[in-house]
Amino acid sequence: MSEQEKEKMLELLSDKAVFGLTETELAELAELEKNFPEFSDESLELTQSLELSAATIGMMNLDTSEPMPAHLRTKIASNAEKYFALRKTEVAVSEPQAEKEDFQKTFAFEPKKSVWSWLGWAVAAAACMVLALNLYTTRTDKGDIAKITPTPTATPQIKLTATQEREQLLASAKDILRSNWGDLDPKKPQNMQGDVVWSNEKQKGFVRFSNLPVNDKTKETYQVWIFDENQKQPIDGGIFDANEAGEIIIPIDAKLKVQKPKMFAITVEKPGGVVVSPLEKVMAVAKVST
Amino acid sequence: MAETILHRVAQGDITAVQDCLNKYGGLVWSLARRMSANTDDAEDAVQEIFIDVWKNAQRFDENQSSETTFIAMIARRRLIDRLRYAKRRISADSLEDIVNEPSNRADEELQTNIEAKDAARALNQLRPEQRQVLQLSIVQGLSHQEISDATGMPLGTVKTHARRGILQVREFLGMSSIEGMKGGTA
Repeated sequence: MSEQEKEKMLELLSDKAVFGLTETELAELAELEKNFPEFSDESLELTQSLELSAATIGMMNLDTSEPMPAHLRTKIASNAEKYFALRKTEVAVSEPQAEKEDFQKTFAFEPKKSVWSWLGWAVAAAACMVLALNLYTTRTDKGDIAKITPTPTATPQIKLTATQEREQLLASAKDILRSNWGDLDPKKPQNMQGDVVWSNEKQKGFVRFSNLPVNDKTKETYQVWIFDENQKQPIDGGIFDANEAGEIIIPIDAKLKVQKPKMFAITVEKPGGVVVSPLEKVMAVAKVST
Repeated sequence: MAETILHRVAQGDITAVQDCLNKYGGLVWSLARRMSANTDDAEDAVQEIFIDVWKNAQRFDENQSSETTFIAMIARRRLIDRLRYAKRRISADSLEDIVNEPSNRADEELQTNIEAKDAARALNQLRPEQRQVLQLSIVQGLSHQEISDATGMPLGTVKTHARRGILQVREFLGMSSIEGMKGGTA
């Protein structure tokens, strides 16, 4: 392989990892690999190492906190079951031919020509006729059927958890706005994390937190606020308490129609919440990027 | 040493599927969301990616990479294929937004996995133009031509920066074991 060809191959392999190749470029690469089979192992290894490098960069700035939608996960698991079942079948089919022949020889059926075989069929046919006659004479009439038809029972309503409802919203809404919470006071790091998701179309959203300090319900409550470009005052998004350590997910209960949300905030207010907040104790804000 | 999830998948252990979805479902979903035009496309892509994962599980070599990187590589391959076929094009306005986006975004703190931190360190070793081209291509999914249009760099320069950049990143990440075709990385 000449230096020029090496250089071309390297260029194509780098492009493949970073950008992907067009049909023409793929053909060009295949041609080079065909002409220089001695480099095929090297090319394969280089391709993989470049692709792994690109994949590593591809994980930068990746927010993996959003779980895969539940329905998609179910579909993938079901596809996997089919895939593995098929693979098992393929392995079974590719068993050595000799083994199959032995099996066939051992279990080969000789055609029976004896009159006794016909007698067997005749007995079976007679049995079918008796069964049909019995069904005809003992069948329940339609009136009786109506009497014994069970009353349909109502399908039990399954109450979804806030986590499930949030996942459902993420999977179904096409206009999801999402933003991460940021601590307002960096001098008091609380390691508070989480995000807010909102759909204008569905007028539905959720706030999610981990490490939000547990509040004393007798003295204070948390309140969600939605800052809308079309509203002078922030919209009340409902109150909630943090009772437990770990992740909490709370549905947003907007008191007015939200049109153009630009920011969400969490404040600490007196028990029961307030109509207009003085915004004195803001715990977190999440700006919506436009 | 504990058996990896992918080795269990390769052996046809169906219970490994749930483990794989638990551990890597979020990663694959996020990559698909970032590199797909809409949620429906992302869902289709994720289904295809996991079939690719089951098929390629036996190729995983823990001496070469972590499972996370291997799965991210399979995901990228599939997503690039889909992008190429879909001939996705981004409008000039959104291109400008992407190019002007600061490279150290606030959500950097969300990079909890070690691979992403390694990548950030590796990118910091590069010349600014190389870093920009790799970020626009790999992280934002732009083609050569789109990067050239957005940055004003000639097409050939974009390709050169991409090639030299990715080769240097590979060196930095310790993924280069081949001397013969290494080429210049200056």
